[in-house]
Amino acid sequence: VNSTLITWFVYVFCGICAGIAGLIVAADIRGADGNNAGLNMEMEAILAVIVGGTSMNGGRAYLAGTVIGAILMQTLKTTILTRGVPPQYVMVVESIVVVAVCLLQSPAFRAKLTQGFTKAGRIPA
Amino acid sequence: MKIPIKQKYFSIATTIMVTIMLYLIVAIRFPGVLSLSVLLNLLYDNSFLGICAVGMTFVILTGGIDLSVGGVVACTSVAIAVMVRDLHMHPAVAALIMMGMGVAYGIVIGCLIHFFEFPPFMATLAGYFFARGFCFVLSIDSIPINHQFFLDVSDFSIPIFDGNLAVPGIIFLLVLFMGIFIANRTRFGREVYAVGGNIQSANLMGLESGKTLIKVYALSGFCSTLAGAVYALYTFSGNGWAANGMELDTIASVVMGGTLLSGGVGGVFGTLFGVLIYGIIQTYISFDGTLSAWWTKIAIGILLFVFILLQRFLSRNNTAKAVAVSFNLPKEEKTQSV
Repeated sequence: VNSTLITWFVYVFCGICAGIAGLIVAADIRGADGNNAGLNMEMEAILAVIVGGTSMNGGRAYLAGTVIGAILMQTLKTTILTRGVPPQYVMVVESIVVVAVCLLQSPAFRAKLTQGFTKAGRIPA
Repeated sequence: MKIPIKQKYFSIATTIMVTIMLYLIVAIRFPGVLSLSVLLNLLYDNSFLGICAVGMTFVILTGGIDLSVGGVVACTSVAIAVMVRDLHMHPAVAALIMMGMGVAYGIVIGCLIHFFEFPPFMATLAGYFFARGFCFVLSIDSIPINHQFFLDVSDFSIPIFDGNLAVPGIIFLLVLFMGIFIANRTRFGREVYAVGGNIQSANLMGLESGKTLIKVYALSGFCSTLAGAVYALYTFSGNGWAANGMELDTIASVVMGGTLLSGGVGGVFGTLFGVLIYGIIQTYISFDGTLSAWWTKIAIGILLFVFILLQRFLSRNNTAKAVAVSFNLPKEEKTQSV
């Protein structure tokens, strides 16, 4: 396997995707905004990917999961906005969700969790 | 072990040369920059960047990265402003509380990275979003700080010949010297280099690398909150969008200062020059007056690219040598093995 070529391709593809997203954002706000368009989008993109079940350590990816993750992200945002919670809370909630999901993915944390259950006498099947 | 040391000095020498060259180039066009007060202003205007960069140097020396400094700086400035305005606290007390919070925050990040094996960029990016989001939870608008203490502190400065070094500059120099001392003269400093050089061998040597990692992120959290307090002092306000994108400027300064992103090689002393390069470019742009401030970012981007290429070139040469030495390979094979 030509790993160099794949690494190149992966970043090129990511660049293309970011470019397409840029076009969509420009169409959405009908203008160009060098300061605020796509500001802080990295986190949301990463969140969508890991919520979709892709491992942070690589080697395990689910594209369909990413789509679900992206929809979940937007649902979370829309919920926050429509429930009357001030929109400033979006970033805080997002970061907490990311940490929670990463924790659930972490083998060390899972081991601790199952250990806790075992101690409490509730052995998971 | 001779190769990495030589390389370290080479990187720092390059950085110092580039700094002096840039300074001379600016001096040719604007002889005014040769005055001492411009030099002292370089320290003053980049004090918060420099303070963050000292903490960041330690993080990068362990092979990690801290993307949260900008958010933490903004969060600290807003929190201090809110505490002074709403709780009528003394700004110094508020700053101390925030520094304590910064250490606690760093410990949490370090624990996430050590115990739950988060990639450092992920843990600190989450921390960044938390801090940045928390700014806006505290206040959407920027808040002015009108406190006699702030006025007194900002009036204070040490006269040096015909210039004056104001408090932010003094704090930066203090942090810098502390950083150099910690990195070179303490047990913790040696542990940082050991963990960054090779975490497995550090563990085998009996070092508790986890503790070192947690301490390093706590140190970075402390430096970021201190920088936030200095930022509040510098701008007399707390602003949620303050220090936007500063984490990348900080990382750029550290890398330009000769610290390798892969960890283990570099030092706090070089970081000073990384910060100075950044400051000199900004000074040029403000002296020129016709260029947009965004040219700083472009110039830094190009310089950073050159520095990374240089480092990559150097470290590749050295790994080739190291591999060749450790396996006793003949010269022809050594290039293929890498």
